[in-house]
Amino acid sequence: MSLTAEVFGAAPKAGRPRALLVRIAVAAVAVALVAAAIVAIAALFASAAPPPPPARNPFGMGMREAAPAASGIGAYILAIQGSFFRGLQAAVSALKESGAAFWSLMGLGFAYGVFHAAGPGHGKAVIAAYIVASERALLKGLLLSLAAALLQALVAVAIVGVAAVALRGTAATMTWMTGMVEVASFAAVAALGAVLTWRKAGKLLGVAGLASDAAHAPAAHGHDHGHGHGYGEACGACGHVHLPPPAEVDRMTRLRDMAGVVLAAGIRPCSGAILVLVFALSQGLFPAGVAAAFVMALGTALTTGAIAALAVFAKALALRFAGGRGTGETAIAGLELLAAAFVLVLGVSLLAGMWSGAGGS
Amino acid sequence: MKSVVRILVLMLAAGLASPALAHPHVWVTAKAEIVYAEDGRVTGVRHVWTFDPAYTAYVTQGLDKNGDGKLSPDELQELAKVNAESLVDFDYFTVLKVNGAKQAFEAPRDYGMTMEKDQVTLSLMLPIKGQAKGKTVSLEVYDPTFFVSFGLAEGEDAVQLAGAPKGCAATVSRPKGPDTAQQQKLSEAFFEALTAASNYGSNFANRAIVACP
Repeated sequence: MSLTAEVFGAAPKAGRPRALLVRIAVAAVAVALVAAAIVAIAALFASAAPPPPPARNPFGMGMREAAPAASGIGAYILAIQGSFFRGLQAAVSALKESGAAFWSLMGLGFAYGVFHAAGPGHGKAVIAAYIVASERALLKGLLLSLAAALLQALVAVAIVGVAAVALRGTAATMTWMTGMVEVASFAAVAALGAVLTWRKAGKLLGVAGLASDAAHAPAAHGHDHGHGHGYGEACGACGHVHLPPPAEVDRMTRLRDMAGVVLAAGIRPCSGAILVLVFALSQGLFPAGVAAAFVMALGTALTTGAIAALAVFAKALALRFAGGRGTGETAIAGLELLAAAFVLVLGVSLLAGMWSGAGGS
Repeated sequence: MKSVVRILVLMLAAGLASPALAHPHVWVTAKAEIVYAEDGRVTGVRHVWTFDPAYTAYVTQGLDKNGDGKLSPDELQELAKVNAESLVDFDYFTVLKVNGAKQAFEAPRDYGMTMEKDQVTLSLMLPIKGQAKGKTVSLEVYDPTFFVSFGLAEGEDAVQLAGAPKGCAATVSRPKGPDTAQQQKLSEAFFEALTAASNYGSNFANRAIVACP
Protein backbone atom coordinates (compact mmCIF):
# COMPACT_ATOMS: atom_id res chain seq x y z
CA MET A 1 0.00 0.00 0.00
CA SER A 2 2.94 2.25 0.59
CA LEU A 3 3.19 2.40 -3.17
CA THR A 4 -0.12 4.16 -3.49
CA ALA A 5 0.68 6.39 -0.57
CA GLU A 6 3.98 7.46 -2.09
CA VAL A 7 2.47 8.02 -5.47
CA PHE A 8 -0.13 10.12 -3.89
CA GLY A 9 2.17 11.89 -1.52
CA ALA A 10 4.31 12.98 -4.44
CA ALA A 11 1.32 14.29 -6.32
CA PRO A 12 0.82 18.02 -6.46
CA LYS A 13 -2.10 19.65 -4.71
CA ALA A 14 -5.18 18.76 -6.62
CA GLY A 15 -8.31 20.64 -7.45
CA ARG A 16 -11.75 19.15 -7.04
CA PRO A 17 -12.23 17.38 -10.42
CA ARG A 18 -8.65 16.22 -10.26
CA ALA A 19 -9.24 14.87 -6.76
CA LEU A 20 -12.23 12.93 -8.01
CA LEU A 21 -10.11 11.36 -10.72
CA VAL A 22 -7.39 10.53 -8.21
CA ARG A 23 -9.94 8.88 -5.93
CA ILE A 24 -11.31 6.86 -8.83
CA ALA A 25 -7.78 5.88 -9.81
CA VAL A 26 -6.96 4.76 -6.28
CA ALA A 27 -10.14 2.69 -6.13
CA ALA A 28 -9.35 1.19 -9.54
CA VAL A 29 -5.80 0.33 -8.49
CA ALA A 30 -7.14 -1.43 -5.39
CA VAL A 31 -9.63 -3.41 -7.44
CA ALA A 32 -6.96 -4.34 -9.96
CA LEU A 33 -4.60 -5.43 -7.18
CA VAL A 34 -7.24 -7.62 -5.58
CA ALA A 35 -8.33 -9.10 -8.89
CA ALA A 36 -4.72 -9.88 -9.81
CA ALA A 37 -4.06 -11.42 -6.41
CA ILE A 38 -7.14 -13.61 -6.66
CA VAL A 39 -6.31 -14.72 -10.18
CA ALA A 40 -2.81 -15.58 -9.00
CA ILE A 41 -4.10 -17.50 -5.99
CA ALA A 42 -6.65 -19.30 -8.12
CA ALA A 43 -3.97 -20.25 -10.62
CA LEU A 44 -1.80 -21.47 -7.78
CA PHE A 45 -4.36 -23.68 -6.10
CA ALA A 46 -6.96 -24.52 -8.68
CA SER A 47 -4.85 -25.39 -11.68
CA ALA A 48 -5.69 -29.07 -11.34
CA ALA A 49 -9.39 -28.53 -10.75
CA PRO A 50 -11.79 -28.68 -13.65
CA PRO A 51 -13.56 -25.44 -14.55
CA PRO A 52 -16.88 -24.95 -12.81
CA PRO A 53 -19.96 -26.13 -14.66
CA PRO A 54 -21.36 -23.45 -16.88
CA ALA A 55 -24.98 -24.13 -16.10
CA ARG A 56 -27.34 -24.69 -13.23
CA ASN A 57 -27.85 -28.31 -12.33
CA PRO A 58 -30.91 -29.81 -14.06
CA PHE A 59 -32.00 -31.17 -10.70
CA GLY A 60 -30.95 -28.07 -8.78
CA MET A 61 -32.97 -25.45 -6.94
CA GLY A 62 -32.19 -22.63 -9.30
CA MET A 63 -28.80 -21.70 -7.92
CA ARG A 64 -25.37 -22.30 -9.28
CA GLU A 65 -23.53 -24.84 -7.22
CA ALA A 66 -19.82 -25.34 -7.51
CA ALA A 67 -18.01 -28.61 -7.93
CA PRO A 68 -16.17 -29.48 -4.75
CA ALA A 69 -12.98 -31.42 -4.46
CA ALA A 70 -14.08 -34.95 -3.63
CA SER A 71 -10.95 -35.89 -1.82
CA GLY A 72 -9.29 -35.26 1.52
CA ILE A 73 -10.88 -32.93 4.01
CA GLY A 74 -13.21 -31.53 1.36
CA ALA A 75 -14.74 -34.95 0.77
CA TYR A 76 -15.08 -35.44 4.50
CA ILE A 77 -17.01 -32.21 5.00
CA LEU A 78 -19.03 -33.06 1.92
CA ALA A 79 -19.93 -36.43 3.36
CA ILE A 80 -20.89 -35.02 6.73
CA GLN A 81 -23.05 -32.39 5.09
CA GLY A 82 -24.73 -34.96 2.89
CA SER A 83 -25.34 -37.34 5.78
CA PHE A 84 -26.79 -34.67 8.03
CA PHE A 85 -28.98 -33.51 5.20
CA ARG A 86 -30.18 -37.07 4.69
CA GLY A 87 -30.81 -37.36 8.43
CA LEU A 88 -32.77 -34.15 8.34
CA GLN A 89 -35.07 -35.55 5.68
CA ALA A 90 -35.47 -38.77 7.63
CA ALA A 91 -36.40 -36.73 10.70
CA VAL A 92 -39.14 -34.95 8.73
CA SER A 93 -40.49 -38.35 7.65
CA ALA A 94 -40.31 -39.65 11.22
CA LEU A 95 -42.10 -36.60 12.53
CA LYS A 96 -45.13 -37.65 10.55
CA GLU A 97 -45.24 -40.83 12.63
CA SER A 98 -44.37 -39.41 16.02
CA GLY A 99 -43.98 -35.96 17.55
CA ALA A 100 -40.96 -37.24 19.44
CA ALA A 101 -38.90 -36.81 16.27
CA PHE A 102 -39.23 -33.04 16.59
CA TRP A 103 -36.15 -32.78 18.75
CA SER A 104 -34.17 -34.99 16.39
CA LEU A 105 -35.21 -32.62 13.63
CA MET A 106 -34.06 -29.61 15.62
CA GLY A 107 -30.77 -31.24 16.61
CA LEU A 108 -29.99 -32.41 13.09
CA GLY A 109 -31.03 -29.04 11.69
CA PHE A 110 -28.60 -27.23 13.98
CA ALA A 111 -25.77 -29.64 13.22
CA TYR A 112 -26.49 -29.38 9.52
CA GLY A 113 -26.34 -25.60 9.80
CA VAL A 114 -22.95 -25.73 11.53
CA PHE A 115 -21.42 -28.07 8.97
CA HIS A 116 -23.18 -26.57 6.01
CA ALA A 117 -21.51 -23.27 6.75
CA ALA A 118 -18.15 -24.98 7.23
CA GLY A 119 -17.45 -24.82 3.54
CA PRO A 120 -16.40 -21.57 1.94
CA GLY A 121 -19.18 -19.25 0.95
CA HIS A 122 -19.56 -15.72 -0.22
CA GLY A 123 -21.60 -14.77 2.84
CA LYS A 124 -18.71 -15.44 5.17
CA ALA A 125 -16.33 -13.68 2.80
CA VAL A 126 -18.51 -10.58 2.73
CA ILE A 127 -18.80 -10.40 6.50
CA ALA A 128 -15.10 -11.06 7.06
CA ALA A 129 -14.05 -8.51 4.46
CA TYR A 130 -16.46 -5.94 5.83
CA ILE A 131 -15.00 -6.39 9.29
CA VAL A 132 -11.50 -5.91 7.92
CA ALA A 133 -12.69 -2.88 5.97
CA SER A 134 -14.29 -1.13 8.88
CA GLU A 135 -14.06 -0.39 12.56
CA ARG A 136 -16.20 -3.19 13.82
CA ALA A 137 -16.00 -4.91 17.13
CA LEU A 138 -16.45 -8.57 17.91
CA LEU A 139 -20.05 -8.22 19.04
CA LYS A 140 -20.95 -6.46 15.80
CA GLY A 141 -19.37 -9.26 13.78
CA LEU A 142 -21.35 -11.87 15.66
CA LEU A 143 -24.57 -9.91 15.30
CA LEU A 144 -23.95 -9.49 11.57
CA SER A 145 -23.42 -13.25 11.25
CA LEU A 146 -26.58 -14.04 13.17
CA ALA A 147 -28.67 -11.51 11.24
CA ALA A 148 -27.36 -12.76 7.89
CA ALA A 149 -28.09 -16.38 8.81
CA LEU A 150 -31.60 -15.56 10.03
CA LEU A 151 -32.25 -13.55 6.88
CA GLN A 152 -31.13 -16.54 4.83
CA ALA A 153 -33.68 -18.74 6.60
CA LEU A 154 -36.32 -16.07 6.21
CA VAL A 155 -35.74 -15.83 2.46
CA ALA A 156 -36.03 -19.61 2.07
CA VAL A 157 -39.27 -19.60 4.08
CA ALA A 158 -40.55 -16.65 2.04
CA ILE A 159 -39.77 -18.31 -1.29
CA VAL A 160 -41.46 -21.56 -0.34
CA GLY A 161 -44.26 -19.76 1.50
CA VAL A 162 -45.08 -17.48 -1.42
CA ALA A 163 -44.38 -19.79 -4.35
CA ALA A 164 -45.64 -23.10 -2.98
CA VAL A 165 -48.11 -22.28 -0.22
CA ALA A 166 -49.71 -19.04 -1.38
CA LEU A 167 -49.43 -19.28 -5.17
CA ARG A 168 -49.61 -23.08 -5.34
CA GLY A 169 -46.81 -22.74 -7.85
CA THR A 170 -44.51 -25.44 -9.16
CA ALA A 171 -40.86 -26.24 -8.68
CA ALA A 172 -40.26 -24.15 -11.80
CA THR A 173 -41.69 -21.10 -9.99
CA MET A 174 -39.50 -21.71 -6.96
CA THR A 175 -36.46 -22.35 -9.12
CA TRP A 176 -37.09 -19.15 -11.00
CA MET A 177 -37.55 -17.12 -7.81
CA THR A 178 -34.46 -18.62 -6.23
CA GLY A 179 -32.45 -17.83 -9.34
CA MET A 180 -33.63 -14.23 -9.24
CA VAL A 181 -32.79 -13.93 -5.55
CA GLU A 182 -29.36 -15.34 -6.26
CA VAL A 183 -28.65 -12.74 -8.91
CA ALA A 184 -29.94 -10.05 -6.55
CA SER A 185 -27.66 -11.30 -3.80
CA PHE A 186 -24.61 -11.15 -6.07
CA ALA A 187 -25.62 -7.66 -7.18
CA ALA A 188 -25.93 -6.68 -3.51
CA VAL A 189 -22.41 -7.94 -2.86
CA ALA A 190 -21.09 -5.94 -5.81
CA ALA A 191 -23.00 -2.81 -4.73
CA LEU A 192 -21.78 -3.08 -1.16
CA GLY A 193 -18.24 -3.53 -2.45
CA ALA A 194 -18.54 -0.50 -4.71
CA VAL A 195 -19.79 1.73 -1.88
CA LEU A 196 -17.10 0.50 0.52
CA THR A 197 -14.35 0.80 -2.08
CA TRP A 198 -15.34 4.36 -2.90
CA ARG A 199 -15.44 5.32 0.77
CA LYS A 200 -12.18 3.62 1.61
CA ALA A 201 -10.43 5.17 -1.39
CA GLY A 202 -11.41 8.54 0.06
CA LYS A 203 -10.23 7.55 3.49
CA LEU A 204 -6.89 6.36 2.19
CA LEU A 205 -6.34 9.65 0.38
CA GLY A 206 -7.35 11.54 3.50
CA VAL A 207 -5.08 9.58 5.78
CA ALA A 208 -2.19 9.73 3.33
CA GLY A 209 -2.72 13.46 3.04
CA LEU A 210 -2.75 13.87 6.80
CA ALA A 211 0.37 11.77 7.10
CA SER A 212 2.30 13.83 4.57
CA ASP A 213 0.94 17.07 5.99
CA ALA A 214 1.85 16.01 9.46
CA ALA A 215 5.46 15.83 8.38
CA HIS A 216 5.39 19.51 7.43
CA ALA A 217 3.09 20.88 10.10
CA PRO A 218 2.56 18.40 12.89
CA ALA A 219 0.23 20.65 14.85
CA ALA A 220 -2.02 21.54 11.97
CA HIS A 221 -4.46 18.68 12.04
CA GLY A 222 -3.82 16.28 14.80
CA HIS A 223 -7.33 15.20 15.58
CA ASP A 224 -8.32 11.67 14.83
CA HIS A 225 -11.91 10.71 14.49
CA GLY A 226 -13.68 7.47 13.89
CA HIS A 227 -13.89 7.55 10.13
CA GLY A 228 -10.41 8.78 9.65
CA HIS A 229 -11.54 11.21 6.96
CA GLY A 230 -8.99 13.88 6.57
CA TYR A 231 -10.69 17.20 6.22
CA GLY A 232 -9.93 20.86 6.55
CA GLU A 233 -8.26 23.57 4.55
CA ALA A 234 -4.71 22.53 5.33
CA CYS A 235 -5.37 19.15 3.84
CA GLY A 236 -4.95 20.00 0.21
CA ALA A 237 -3.83 16.56 -0.77
CA CYS A 238 -6.99 14.80 0.33
CA GLY A 239 -8.95 16.75 -2.19
CA HIS A 240 -12.37 16.34 -0.73
CA VAL A 241 -13.42 18.89 1.81
CA HIS A 242 -16.45 18.01 3.80
CA LEU A 243 -17.84 18.53 7.22
CA PRO A 244 -17.68 15.72 9.71
CA PRO A 245 -21.06 14.09 9.95
CA PRO A 246 -23.01 14.62 13.15
CA ALA A 247 -23.22 11.62 15.43
CA GLU A 248 -26.80 11.02 14.39
CA VAL A 249 -26.00 10.78 10.70
CA ASP A 250 -22.99 8.69 11.54
CA ARG A 251 -25.12 6.17 13.38
CA MET A 252 -27.59 6.04 10.53
CA THR A 253 -24.75 5.39 8.09
CA ARG A 254 -23.52 2.56 10.25
CA LEU A 255 -26.96 0.99 10.52
CA ARG A 256 -27.40 1.33 6.77
CA ASP A 257 -23.98 -0.21 6.21
CA MET A 258 -24.76 -3.12 8.45
CA ALA A 259 -28.12 -3.66 6.79
CA GLY A 260 -26.25 -3.73 3.49
CA VAL A 261 -23.81 -6.32 4.79
CA VAL A 262 -26.60 -8.50 6.16
CA LEU A 263 -28.44 -8.22 2.86
CA ALA A 264 -25.38 -9.01 0.76
CA ALA A 265 -24.35 -11.92 2.95
CA GLY A 266 -27.76 -13.34 3.73
CA ILE A 267 -30.34 -13.07 0.98
CA ARG A 268 -29.08 -16.02 -1.02
CA PRO A 269 -30.97 -18.95 0.47
CA CYS A 270 -29.50 -22.41 0.61
CA SER A 271 -30.90 -25.20 -1.51
CA GLY A 272 -31.01 -27.49 1.50
CA ALA A 273 -33.36 -25.25 3.44
CA ILE A 274 -35.69 -24.93 0.45
CA LEU A 275 -35.75 -28.70 -0.06
CA VAL A 276 -36.49 -29.40 3.60
CA LEU A 277 -39.24 -26.78 3.64
CA VAL A 278 -40.97 -28.18 0.57
CA PHE A 279 -40.58 -31.72 1.85
CA ALA A 280 -42.07 -30.73 5.21
CA LEU A 281 -44.88 -28.99 3.35
CA SER A 282 -45.63 -32.11 1.34
CA GLN A 283 -45.87 -34.07 4.60
CA GLY A 284 -48.25 -31.50 6.05
CA LEU A 285 -45.56 -30.34 8.45
CA PHE A 286 -44.70 -26.89 7.12
CA PRO A 287 -44.35 -25.29 10.60
CA ALA A 288 -41.81 -27.95 11.57
CA GLY A 289 -39.93 -27.19 8.35
CA VAL A 290 -39.89 -23.50 9.22
CA ALA A 291 -38.57 -24.32 12.69
CA ALA A 292 -35.89 -26.51 11.13
CA ALA A 293 -34.88 -23.72 8.73
CA PHE A 294 -34.38 -21.28 11.60
CA VAL A 295 -32.49 -23.81 13.71
CA MET A 296 -30.25 -24.38 10.69
CA ALA A 297 -29.69 -20.63 10.61
CA LEU A 298 -28.54 -20.70 14.24
CA GLY A 299 -26.03 -23.40 13.36
CA THR A 300 -24.86 -21.41 10.36
CA ALA A 301 -24.52 -18.30 12.52
CA LEU A 302 -22.26 -20.20 14.87
CA THR A 303 -19.79 -21.06 12.10
CA THR A 304 -20.01 -17.70 10.36
CA GLY A 305 -19.64 -15.96 13.71
CA ALA A 306 -16.44 -17.89 14.37
CA ILE A 307 -15.06 -16.64 11.06
CA ALA A 308 -16.19 -13.09 11.84
CA ALA A 309 -14.35 -13.35 15.15
CA LEU A 310 -11.28 -14.50 13.25
CA ALA A 311 -11.54 -11.44 11.01
CA VAL A 312 -11.85 -9.13 14.02
CA PHE A 313 -8.77 -10.74 15.50
CA ALA A 314 -6.84 -10.48 12.24
CA LYS A 315 -7.69 -6.80 11.96
CA ALA A 316 -6.64 -6.14 15.54
CA LEU A 317 -3.38 -7.94 14.87
CA ALA A 318 -2.77 -5.89 11.74
CA LEU A 319 -3.47 -2.70 13.67
CA ARG A 320 -0.97 -3.68 16.34
CA PHE A 321 1.71 -4.42 13.76
CA ALA A 322 1.06 -1.20 11.93
CA GLY A 323 1.40 0.83 15.08
CA GLY A 324 0.15 4.37 15.49
CA ARG A 325 -0.24 7.24 13.08
CA GLY A 326 1.52 8.19 9.91
CA THR A 327 2.62 5.38 7.64
CA GLY A 328 0.97 2.83 9.90
CA GLU A 329 -2.39 4.47 9.60
CA THR A 330 -1.93 4.77 5.86
CA ALA A 331 -1.15 1.08 5.65
CA ILE A 332 -4.28 0.21 7.61
CA ALA A 333 -6.35 2.48 5.39
CA GLY A 334 -4.83 0.67 2.42
CA LEU A 335 -5.71 -2.67 3.95
CA GLU A 336 -9.28 -1.53 4.45
CA LEU A 337 -9.43 -0.35 0.86
CA LEU A 338 -8.19 -3.74 -0.36
CA ALA A 339 -10.78 -5.54 1.75
CA ALA A 340 -13.48 -3.30 0.31
CA ALA A 341 -12.20 -3.84 -3.22
CA PHE A 342 -12.27 -7.55 -2.52
CA VAL A 343 -16.00 -7.39 -1.79
CA LEU A 344 -16.52 -5.55 -5.08
CA VAL A 345 -14.45 -8.05 -7.08
CA LEU A 346 -16.24 -10.93 -5.37
CA GLY A 347 -19.67 -9.51 -6.22
CA VAL A 348 -18.80 -8.80 -9.82
CA SER A 349 -17.23 -12.20 -10.38
CA LEU A 350 -20.19 -13.95 -8.76
CA LEU A 351 -22.45 -12.01 -11.07
CA ALA A 352 -20.32 -12.95 -14.04
CA GLY A 353 -20.60 -16.57 -13.01
CA MET A 354 -16.87 -16.97 -12.75
CA TRP A 355 -17.25 -18.52 -9.36
CA SER A 356 -20.29 -20.58 -9.72
CA GLY A 357 -21.76 -20.13 -6.35
CA ALA A 358 -21.14 -20.47 -2.71
CA GLY A 359 -23.20 -22.83 -0.73
CA GLY A 360 -22.12 -22.11 2.81
CA SER A 361 -23.80 -18.99 3.98
CA MET B 1 5.61 -7.09 8.04
CA LYS B 2 2.62 -5.05 7.00
CA SER B 3 2.61 -6.53 3.57
CA VAL B 4 2.78 -10.00 5.09
CA VAL B 5 -0.32 -9.26 7.14
CA ARG B 6 -1.99 -7.84 4.08
CA ILE B 7 -1.26 -10.90 2.00
CA LEU B 8 -2.43 -13.20 4.78
CA VAL B 9 -5.72 -11.37 5.10
CA LEU B 10 -6.18 -11.40 1.35
CA MET B 11 -5.49 -15.09 1.15
CA LEU B 12 -7.90 -15.74 3.99
CA ALA B 13 -10.53 -13.76 2.17
CA ALA B 14 -9.84 -15.47 -1.15
CA GLY B 15 -10.03 -18.85 0.55
CA LEU B 16 -13.37 -17.99 2.04
CA ALA B 17 -14.74 -16.93 -1.27
CA SER B 18 -13.56 -19.81 -3.37
CA PRO B 19 -16.27 -22.09 -4.71
CA ALA B 20 -18.33 -23.77 -2.07
CA LEU B 21 -18.77 -27.45 -1.64
CA ALA B 22 -22.11 -28.41 -3.05
CA HIS B 23 -22.90 -31.43 -0.96
CA PRO B 24 -25.46 -33.92 -2.25
CA HIS B 25 -28.96 -32.51 -2.08
CA VAL B 26 -30.61 -34.97 -4.44
CA TRP B 27 -30.32 -38.74 -4.39
CA VAL B 28 -30.98 -40.82 -7.47
CA THR B 29 -31.23 -44.57 -7.66
CA ALA B 30 -30.18 -45.36 -11.20
CA LYS B 31 -30.87 -48.24 -13.50
CA ALA B 32 -29.52 -48.42 -17.00
CA GLU B 33 -29.95 -50.48 -20.10
CA ILE B 34 -27.24 -50.48 -22.71
CA VAL B 35 -28.92 -50.84 -26.07
CA TYR B 36 -27.31 -52.66 -29.02
CA ALA B 37 -28.27 -52.78 -32.67
CA GLU B 38 -28.50 -56.06 -34.55
CA ASP B 39 -25.03 -55.70 -35.98
CA GLY B 40 -23.52 -55.37 -32.52
CA ARG B 41 -23.17 -51.59 -32.46
CA VAL B 42 -23.98 -49.77 -29.24
CA THR B 43 -26.80 -47.35 -30.00
CA GLY B 44 -27.37 -45.75 -26.64
CA VAL B 45 -28.34 -45.96 -23.00
CA ARG B 46 -31.79 -46.16 -21.53
CA HIS B 47 -31.75 -44.48 -18.13
CA VAL B 48 -34.26 -45.06 -15.37
CA TRP B 49 -33.65 -42.68 -12.48
CA THR B 50 -35.67 -42.79 -9.28
CA PHE B 51 -35.47 -39.68 -7.08
CA ASP B 52 -35.57 -39.49 -3.30
CA PRO B 53 -38.82 -38.46 -1.57
CA ALA B 54 -37.67 -34.96 -0.58
CA TYR B 55 -36.58 -33.99 -4.09
CA THR B 56 -39.73 -35.63 -5.40
CA ALA B 57 -41.78 -33.39 -3.12
CA TYR B 58 -39.89 -30.36 -4.39
CA VAL B 59 -40.02 -31.11 -8.06
CA THR B 60 -43.66 -32.24 -8.14
CA GLN B 61 -44.90 -29.32 -6.07
CA GLY B 62 -48.07 -27.92 -7.63
CA LEU B 63 -48.13 -30.36 -10.56
CA ASP B 64 -51.29 -32.17 -9.49
CA LYS B 65 -53.40 -30.19 -11.94
CA ASN B 66 -56.68 -32.06 -11.49
CA GLY B 67 -56.23 -32.19 -7.73
CA ASP B 68 -56.93 -35.90 -7.35
CA GLY B 69 -53.93 -36.35 -5.06
CA LYS B 70 -52.14 -38.44 -7.66
CA LEU B 71 -49.64 -37.52 -10.30
CA SER B 72 -50.28 -39.11 -13.66
CA PRO B 73 -47.60 -39.46 -16.36
CA ASP B 74 -49.51 -36.78 -18.26
CA GLU B 75 -49.18 -34.33 -15.40
CA LEU B 76 -45.46 -35.14 -15.20
CA GLN B 77 -44.71 -35.01 -18.92
CA GLU B 78 -43.78 -31.34 -19.01
CA LEU B 79 -41.38 -31.87 -16.11
CA ALA B 80 -39.86 -34.89 -17.84
CA LYS B 81 -39.34 -32.78 -20.96
CA VAL B 82 -37.64 -29.94 -19.06
CA ASN B 83 -35.43 -32.38 -17.20
CA ALA B 84 -34.49 -34.38 -20.28
CA GLU B 85 -33.68 -31.24 -22.25
CA SER B 86 -31.63 -29.55 -19.55
CA LEU B 87 -29.48 -32.63 -19.00
CA VAL B 88 -27.34 -31.64 -21.96
CA ASP B 89 -25.70 -28.93 -19.82
CA PHE B 90 -24.25 -31.64 -17.63
CA ASP B 91 -23.48 -34.13 -20.39
CA TYR B 92 -26.41 -36.23 -19.19
CA PHE B 93 -24.41 -37.22 -16.08
CA THR B 94 -23.31 -40.10 -18.28
CA VAL B 95 -19.92 -41.26 -19.40
CA LEU B 96 -20.13 -44.09 -21.91
CA LYS B 97 -16.98 -45.48 -23.37
CA VAL B 98 -16.79 -47.99 -26.18
CA ASN B 99 -13.36 -49.61 -26.40
CA GLY B 100 -12.14 -46.75 -24.26
CA ALA B 101 -13.47 -44.01 -26.53
CA LYS B 102 -15.84 -41.56 -24.91
CA GLN B 103 -19.12 -41.24 -26.75
CA ALA B 104 -21.15 -38.10 -27.42
CA PHE B 105 -24.92 -38.16 -27.22
CA GLU B 106 -27.83 -36.86 -29.18
CA ALA B 107 -30.86 -35.30 -27.52
CA PRO B 108 -32.78 -37.78 -25.32
CA ARG B 109 -35.81 -39.55 -26.76
CA ASP B 110 -38.86 -41.29 -25.32
CA TYR B 111 -38.64 -39.50 -22.03
CA GLY B 112 -41.31 -39.85 -19.40
CA MET B 113 -41.91 -39.72 -15.71
CA THR B 114 -43.94 -41.84 -13.33
CA MET B 115 -44.83 -41.49 -9.68
CA GLU B 116 -44.82 -44.45 -7.38
CA LYS B 117 -45.59 -43.96 -3.71
CA ASP B 118 -43.56 -40.86 -2.86
CA GLN B 119 -40.87 -41.11 -5.51
CA VAL B 120 -40.76 -40.03 -9.13
CA THR B 121 -38.88 -41.95 -11.76
CA LEU B 122 -37.52 -40.35 -14.90
CA SER B 123 -36.84 -42.60 -17.85
CA LEU B 124 -35.23 -41.60 -21.10
CA MET B 125 -33.36 -43.01 -24.04
CA LEU B 126 -29.97 -41.45 -24.66
CA PRO B 127 -28.78 -42.20 -28.21
CA ILE B 128 -25.11 -42.25 -29.11
CA LYS B 129 -24.01 -39.78 -31.73
CA GLY B 130 -22.53 -41.66 -34.65
CA GLN B 131 -21.34 -45.25 -34.74
CA ALA B 132 -19.75 -47.18 -31.92
CA LYS B 133 -18.69 -50.76 -31.94
CA GLY B 134 -16.37 -52.56 -29.59
CA LYS B 135 -15.76 -55.51 -27.33
CA THR B 136 -15.77 -53.53 -24.11
CA VAL B 137 -18.21 -50.91 -23.02
CA SER B 138 -18.04 -48.99 -19.77
CA LEU B 139 -20.80 -46.89 -18.31
CA GLU B 140 -20.55 -44.38 -15.47
CA VAL B 141 -23.39 -42.31 -14.10
CA TYR B 142 -22.46 -39.45 -11.82
CA ASP B 143 -22.72 -35.73 -11.18
CA PRO B 144 -19.25 -34.12 -11.21
CA THR B 145 -20.54 -31.39 -8.89
CA PHE B 146 -21.93 -33.94 -6.41
CA PHE B 147 -25.11 -31.94 -6.06
CA VAL B 148 -26.90 -35.07 -7.22
CA SER B 149 -25.75 -38.33 -5.70
CA PHE B 150 -26.25 -41.17 -8.17
CA GLY B 151 -26.26 -44.72 -6.93
CA LEU B 152 -26.85 -47.80 -9.05
CA ALA B 153 -29.88 -49.76 -7.89
CA GLU B 154 -29.50 -52.89 -5.82
CA GLY B 155 -29.82 -56.23 -7.52
CA GLU B 156 -28.87 -57.92 -10.74
CA ASP B 157 -30.98 -55.76 -13.00
CA ALA B 158 -29.29 -52.42 -12.26
CA VAL B 159 -27.47 -52.52 -15.57
CA GLN B 160 -28.96 -54.63 -18.31
CA LEU B 161 -28.08 -55.28 -21.91
CA ALA B 162 -30.66 -55.05 -24.68
CA GLY B 163 -29.92 -56.92 -27.87
CA ALA B 164 -26.25 -57.39 -27.06
CA PRO B 165 -24.25 -59.95 -29.04
CA LYS B 166 -24.22 -63.43 -27.58
CA GLY B 167 -21.84 -63.91 -24.69
CA CYS B 168 -21.67 -60.27 -23.58
CA ALA B 169 -21.88 -59.80 -19.84
CA ALA B 170 -22.17 -56.74 -17.60
CA THR B 171 -20.32 -56.39 -14.33
CA VAL B 172 -21.41 -53.70 -11.93
CA SER B 173 -19.14 -52.13 -9.35
CA ARG B 174 -21.33 -50.66 -6.70
CA PRO B 175 -19.60 -49.21 -3.64
CA LYS B 176 -21.48 -48.74 -0.41
CA GLY B 177 -23.54 -45.62 -0.70
CA PRO B 178 -25.19 -43.45 1.90
CA ASP B 179 -28.58 -44.72 0.73
CA THR B 180 -28.89 -46.92 3.78
CA ALA B 181 -28.90 -43.78 5.89
CA GLN B 182 -32.59 -43.38 5.36
CA GLN B 183 -33.52 -46.65 6.98
CA GLN B 184 -31.42 -46.16 10.04
CA LYS B 185 -32.76 -45.20 13.43
CA LEU B 186 -32.67 -41.48 14.07
CA SER B 187 -30.75 -41.94 17.27
CA GLU B 188 -27.92 -43.29 15.17
CA ALA B 189 -28.05 -40.49 12.66
CA PHE B 190 -25.41 -38.30 14.31
CA PHE B 191 -22.96 -41.13 14.67
CA GLU B 192 -23.66 -42.33 11.19
CA ALA B 193 -23.21 -38.86 9.76
CA LEU B 194 -19.73 -38.60 11.21
CA THR B 195 -18.49 -42.06 10.34
CA ALA B 196 -20.07 -42.68 6.95
CA ALA B 197 -17.74 -40.00 5.72
CA SER B 198 -14.47 -41.87 5.69
CA ASN B 199 -14.92 -43.72 2.40
CA TYR B 200 -17.10 -41.14 0.77
CA GLY B 201 -15.08 -40.38 -2.31
CA SER B 202 -15.55 -43.86 -3.64
CA ASN B 203 -19.28 -43.67 -3.03
CA PHE B 204 -19.59 -41.71 -6.17
CA ALA B 205 -18.13 -44.41 -8.37
CA ASN B 206 -20.92 -46.25 -10.14
CA ARG B 207 -19.49 -48.20 -12.98
CA ALA B 208 -20.70 -50.98 -15.20
CA ILE B 209 -18.36 -52.76 -17.54
CA VAL B 210 -19.58 -54.87 -20.40
CA ALA B 211 -17.25 -57.43 -21.87
CA CYS B 212 -18.02 -59.24 -25.09
CA PRO B 213 -16.19 -62.26 -26.50
